[in-house]
Amino acid sequence: MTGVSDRDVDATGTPRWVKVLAIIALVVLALVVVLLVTGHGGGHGPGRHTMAAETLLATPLS
Amino acid sequence: MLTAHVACSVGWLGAVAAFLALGVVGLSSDDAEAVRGAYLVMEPAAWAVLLPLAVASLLTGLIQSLGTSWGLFRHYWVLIKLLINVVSTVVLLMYMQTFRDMADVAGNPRADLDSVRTASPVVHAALALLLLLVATFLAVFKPRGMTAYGRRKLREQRAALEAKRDEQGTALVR
Repeated sequence: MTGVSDRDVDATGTPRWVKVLAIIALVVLALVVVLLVTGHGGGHGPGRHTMAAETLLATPLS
Repeated sequence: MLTAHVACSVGWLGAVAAFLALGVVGLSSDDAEAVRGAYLVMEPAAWAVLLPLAVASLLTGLIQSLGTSWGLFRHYWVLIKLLINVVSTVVLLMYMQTFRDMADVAGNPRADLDSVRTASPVVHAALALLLLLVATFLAVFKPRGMTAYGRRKLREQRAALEAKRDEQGTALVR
């Protein structure tokens, strides 16, 4: 599957496998965005750790 | 150069798999020291292994594609691999601060284990593994499909070659 044939050159439009891959990528991206926006992603973004570290540093040792 | 690109890319894949294992240990182990250790070791390991391999994979891939007839924007499989490589490297660069923050929390003796544990490295490593597996599949099978730019370039090259042949043929007849 490595050669470039006349079929490749004469073909127009996007190949089916590229379209399928693009749809899968869009679905995964949408899922990630929904999880982040709704907060169902476990709250594991960078902010979680920064806030946790700040809270801990602000807490005096007992 | 091809050997270097394959070595860096497959090495990157393996390193991400190791980070996935570390993330699972951090998330599920009952051993408090193992949990803290997993998050503490991620940051230096990312600087020493993950990031250099990601950048090396990107650079060797750029040199490899631009130095051969494959080009960078001519074939869909090369273009998609480039996209995967750039996106993964940028996300990794952004995630370096998160590694630092996770290590800060894990290294703090006042932090309980629940605040140390996070699913973030598992989620990110799993997604990265998926993307890099797709890139590996594309590199091995090189599925057909030229971009509009690639088709135009090839037609131009063929036209130039035919014109040169015609020119040589005319010169021989004379």
